[in-house]
Amino acid sequence: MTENNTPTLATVNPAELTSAVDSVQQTMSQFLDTADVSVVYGKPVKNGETQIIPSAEVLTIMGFGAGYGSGSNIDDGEQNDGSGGGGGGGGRVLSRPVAVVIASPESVTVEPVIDVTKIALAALTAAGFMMGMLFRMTRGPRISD
Amino acid sequence: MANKFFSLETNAGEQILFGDRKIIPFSQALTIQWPFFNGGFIWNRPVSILETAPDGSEQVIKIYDVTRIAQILLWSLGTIGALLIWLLFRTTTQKRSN
Repeated sequence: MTENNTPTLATVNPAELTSAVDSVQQTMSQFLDTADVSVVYGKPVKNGETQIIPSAEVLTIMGFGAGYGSGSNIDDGEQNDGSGGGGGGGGRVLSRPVAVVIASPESVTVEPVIDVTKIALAALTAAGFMMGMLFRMTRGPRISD
Repeated sequence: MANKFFSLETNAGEQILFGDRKIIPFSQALTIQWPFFNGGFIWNRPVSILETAPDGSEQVIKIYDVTRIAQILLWSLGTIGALLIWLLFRTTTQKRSN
């Protein structure tokens, strides 16, 4: 005979539960820290009297979860208790330079960082899209049986 | 820990001093947190800098993402171009059939 009891919080090991919650909160806090301005602007680099401040766009995406459960059953008159927990997650951080701030004693200027590869790929996509449409339209109507 | 589903905030950084000039960098962060799960999405980008000259005059210098602007323009051009080709051929075919 086997009886399954619903796990309750009372049977959960508090130390393990606290550890899991702390871990989730710490990860969430680290994730929210990427919204800070210090993530976007780098440390100023000195070059003589000129200072250069790099700036980048940062994209962070993540998801995670943790769970804990416990239960007990009575098998052949013997009660067995068990508990376990686990968690997992994943994410990605993408960073791309956007501009460089050049500060000299005379003036402050912003020089953009141009990614030629990305622009070329966008141009190829646009050209491919138009060529595809042109090819489709010049081919004429399909003759069905 | 913020419990907001969506937020768009402009944040100011620490001022940077060099000589008599001051710079305050600004960034804009779009935060989306999944409503029922842990985690989310943060898009943080530089928007502008505030420059204070030695005479006290202030100037806001915008930071433009030239690569992103070029990409959006090219993709829009591709879409509009394809639509124009489709419209042009459609009208020509309709005229011929009439």
